[in-house]
Amino acid sequence: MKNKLQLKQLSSLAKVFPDFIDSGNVKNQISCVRGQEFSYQIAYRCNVTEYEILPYRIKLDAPEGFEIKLYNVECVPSMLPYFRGERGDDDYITKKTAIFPDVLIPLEHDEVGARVEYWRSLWVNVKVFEDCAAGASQIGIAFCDADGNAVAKKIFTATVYPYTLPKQRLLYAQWFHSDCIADVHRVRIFSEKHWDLIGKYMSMAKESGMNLIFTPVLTPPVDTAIGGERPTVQLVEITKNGNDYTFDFSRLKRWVTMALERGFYGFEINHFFTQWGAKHAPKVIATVGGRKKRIFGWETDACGEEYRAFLSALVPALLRFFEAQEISRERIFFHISDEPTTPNIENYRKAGELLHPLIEGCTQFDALSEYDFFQNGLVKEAVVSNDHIAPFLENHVPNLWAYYCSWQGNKVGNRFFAMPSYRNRILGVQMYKANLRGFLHWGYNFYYTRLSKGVVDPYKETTCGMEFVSGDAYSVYPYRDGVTPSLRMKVFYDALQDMRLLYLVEEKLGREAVIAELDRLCGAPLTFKEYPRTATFFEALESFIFLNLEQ
Amino acid sequence: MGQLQLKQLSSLSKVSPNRIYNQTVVTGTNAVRGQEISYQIAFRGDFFNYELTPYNLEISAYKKFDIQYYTVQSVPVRLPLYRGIRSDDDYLTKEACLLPDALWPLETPNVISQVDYWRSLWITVKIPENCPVGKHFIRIAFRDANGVIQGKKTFTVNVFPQQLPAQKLLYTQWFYCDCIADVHHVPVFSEEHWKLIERYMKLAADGGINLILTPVLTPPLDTEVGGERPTTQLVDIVKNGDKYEFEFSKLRRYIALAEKCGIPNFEINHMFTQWGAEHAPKVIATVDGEKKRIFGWETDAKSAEYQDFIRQLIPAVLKVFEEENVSRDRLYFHVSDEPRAAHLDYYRADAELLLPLIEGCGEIDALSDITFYNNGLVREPVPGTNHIVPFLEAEVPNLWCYYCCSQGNLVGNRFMAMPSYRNRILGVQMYKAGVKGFLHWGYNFYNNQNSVKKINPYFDTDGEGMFPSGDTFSVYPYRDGAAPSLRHLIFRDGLEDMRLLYLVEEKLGREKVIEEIDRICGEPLTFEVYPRNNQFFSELYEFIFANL
Repeated sequence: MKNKLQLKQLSSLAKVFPDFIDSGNVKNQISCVRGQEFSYQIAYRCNVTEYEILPYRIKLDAPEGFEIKLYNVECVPSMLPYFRGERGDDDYITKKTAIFPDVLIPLEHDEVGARVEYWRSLWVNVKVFEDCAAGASQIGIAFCDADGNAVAKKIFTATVYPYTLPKQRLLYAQWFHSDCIADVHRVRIFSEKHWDLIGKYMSMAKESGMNLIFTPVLTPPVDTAIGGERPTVQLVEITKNGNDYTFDFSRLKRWVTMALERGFYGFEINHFFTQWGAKHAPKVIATVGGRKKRIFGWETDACGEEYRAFLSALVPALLRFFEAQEISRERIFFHISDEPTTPNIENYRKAGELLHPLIEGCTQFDALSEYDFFQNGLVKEAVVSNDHIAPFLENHVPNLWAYYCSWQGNKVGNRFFAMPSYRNRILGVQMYKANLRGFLHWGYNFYYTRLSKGVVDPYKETTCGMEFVSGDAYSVYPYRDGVTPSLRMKVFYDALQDMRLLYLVEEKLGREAVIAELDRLCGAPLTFKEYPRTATFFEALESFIFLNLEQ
Repeated sequence: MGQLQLKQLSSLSKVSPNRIYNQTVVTGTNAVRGQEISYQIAFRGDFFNYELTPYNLEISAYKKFDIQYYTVQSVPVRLPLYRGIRSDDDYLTKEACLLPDALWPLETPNVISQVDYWRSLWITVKIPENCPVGKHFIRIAFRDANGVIQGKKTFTVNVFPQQLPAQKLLYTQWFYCDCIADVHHVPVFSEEHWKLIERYMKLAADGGINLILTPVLTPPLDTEVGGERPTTQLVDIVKNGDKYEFEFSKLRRYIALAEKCGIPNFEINHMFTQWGAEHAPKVIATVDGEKKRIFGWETDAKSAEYQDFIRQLIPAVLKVFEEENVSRDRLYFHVSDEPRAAHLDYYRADAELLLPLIEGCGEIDALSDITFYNNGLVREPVPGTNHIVPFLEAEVPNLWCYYCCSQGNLVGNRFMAMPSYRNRILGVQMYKAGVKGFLHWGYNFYNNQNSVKKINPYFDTDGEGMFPSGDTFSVYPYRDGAAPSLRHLIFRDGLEDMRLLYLVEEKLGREKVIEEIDRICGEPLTFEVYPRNNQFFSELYEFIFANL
């Protein structure tokens, strides 16, 4: 039979839509170091008309020293691909509502179905072992017919350099929503099934470069309607006797142990005051007189005596717990309240005055967008949106973090479905140049509508009820009894590896020379808003990096 | 302040966020008593500072109308059609995209307009049988958050004194109890499952379905050879040596539920496997106190054991229906789905076993080759609409028809990427052809091909790439129940066209009606030749109501 299968071997930066391919540069080889992970794709389709879908068996020819995982890229719908006006620009793949390639579905039984005239894509994820031999290796992927004969084959060459990828310096968390896991998988909170799922979601987070885990000592007061509440995911069990509190940290210990087993470095403790104003307490459930009840919440004055007494009991106990686990204070990160603004400064100040003396030696950080607010000195480490970061950089603010969310869709990079993948990957280079300490994102797995009023099916409703741009709220999908990544998360991991490779080159050339070269490749000083709008920039970056490493 | 754009449109328009396909502006319709009509109001905002603007709907509608409001939801279409010989050029788009399809009931009279993207409010109006004649109105105003009316539309229904005649056509879409249980995460035949079955049945009846697939045994449909689907067997069986005891309480409950929902006819599952008729469906029985599979893919259909089982089962089933006052003319049996010439030997043996057992009942099977029918083994054939011509020419009595994924060239169908007029045209076509029934294989098939995997119908509308989007289901799971697709309601409009034509036929005679249909069509209307526009249906209504 005539070969009617079409294959295109593409970079991980391509987005393969059924009808067209965005940034579809052919890529047949990569240079890499030990410990690195890279991805590429093989887009496939048929041009026969007798059948609509042709089954092929994938035969993987994997060289020694590599671990390879195969996924199919599947499309999901977006009814809100971007925000118009000042919040968007023209560098989107489409502004139409459409379906977008995003979720990576693990390949089963090595089978794929090639569609007639509609592209699909096989995502090839490759881990280079730390002991992988240096030199060129070939990864072969053959599409075989029912008899096992290869109909078409693509070879990808990985040239391994005799270096090990340096450790990730950037601190990185995406908020881990345990309640969303329970809801979307229909399991009871902290049931064994829930713990099992938490473990799987934690593993995927760690594999994707996250090294801080958002830890709900109390139910996090984020994305919660005023007066409303999210399911209780409080890791500490509290008993209240008169004015005394006793704390049972056994659940927290299980959480911490799981995170440590997976290699997490730090623990990001939930905010102790409500979002957008710091006026109230998070929900706190305690046993009082043998009965569980809510002792704090939206009705609580954040700076009232009772809540003050509670925190003064909880936080030292918590720090003693971490000490007992041999987790030093620099590995513990506290928040006061998310997104404080000048009108709420007094609340935030009072909350800070309460918390700061309790957490000596730990980090305190919060997302905020106003440099003026930061100058008040109330936030120890600032987490700034990438479109408001310039004044912080100009003023050489130390220990700076960055974030983006739905509002960062104009000029800056982000991870929306409708953005080309180079706008996602650029963050690594940008954060390297800005020398950031960390990156925070509010949605690793937020499967609720805005303000957590309802549960969504993330394969169907990708906008939190038309409130956030598709791609903002989560970077992984529930899949069977576990979780599967989006291509956006893989591409962001590539960005983190760009940073690590740049640190490797920096050892040879010095930071100044590296930055000069980045700006030269960019054609202008690279910033969070000025950067090359093309996938080929990353080819040039790879060439620069590996020209300066010895084979 | 925000500029709201409104367009009052025919139910035949498809309002996708990016464009309106087959746009037909309407101001009202004629209708007879007992009819149910649909129309839409498309809306979008163009105010730049907000993406979304909420509106309160102020509805003033004729009180005797029973009105249901829905918002039209777009769903992903990754396989709009089969390319090549199985399709033609009359599709909305051949690109993978989002297309409007699911209708979600509006719970409060509020909608949210989106900047630059169209949304649509879908309105269905039931005209009661005792509705006063004359013009009645539905007025819908869009009031913004400041209380200012930003737009309004009025729809006029001119009610004629006639009653819509009862539906003559038998109509089934295969009803999959296992898919309901799977997609809603409930155990098969648990109380929650029965509640859901009832809601899905009700929605089926609302769409004109009057014949329901009844899984006395787990239907051997779309099942991988050697594989199985979840057991949904309505009969409990105890096997004692060669004798079987049957317990039918679940079947009785199913019958009662269907009748309560308004479905009077029962289509018993196929008694032999699909595409070959060589094996038995899965049969679970208690043997020595233990539940086990006693028949299945390993069973030779001609084996004495299975034949003996069928000889005991069928009379017992018929007795149950008799006790439930369901007469034999309301029962339809199948031998095996889609038999081909190569399977004749088995099909003959199967039919020779089954047919004598079901005297007085209907026996139908999908088949596309008239030479197979000529073997005389199928009582009532169900050919594909693209293979029906030889059956019509041979004037086969009690002819049915079907379409599925393969009927995408020239003929009508319900694919999401087809214009709605290709869906609705079936009514007129079936009227002219005088067919007895219509069968579709997928009311709610939420699996991939051969049911190897379950799918999420809001994510995967094409059975993992196997079937053009729209083929596999016509309703969606929605909360603790089901929501219709607009395709489900458009097909019902097609059925109402048939019923209106029977009404006119009483006055003018069948010949004159057909002559008039062909005149409006511009040439003799067939399953493959028909007008490719919405206009045909307004002209059809002009003709119908000019004669009432």
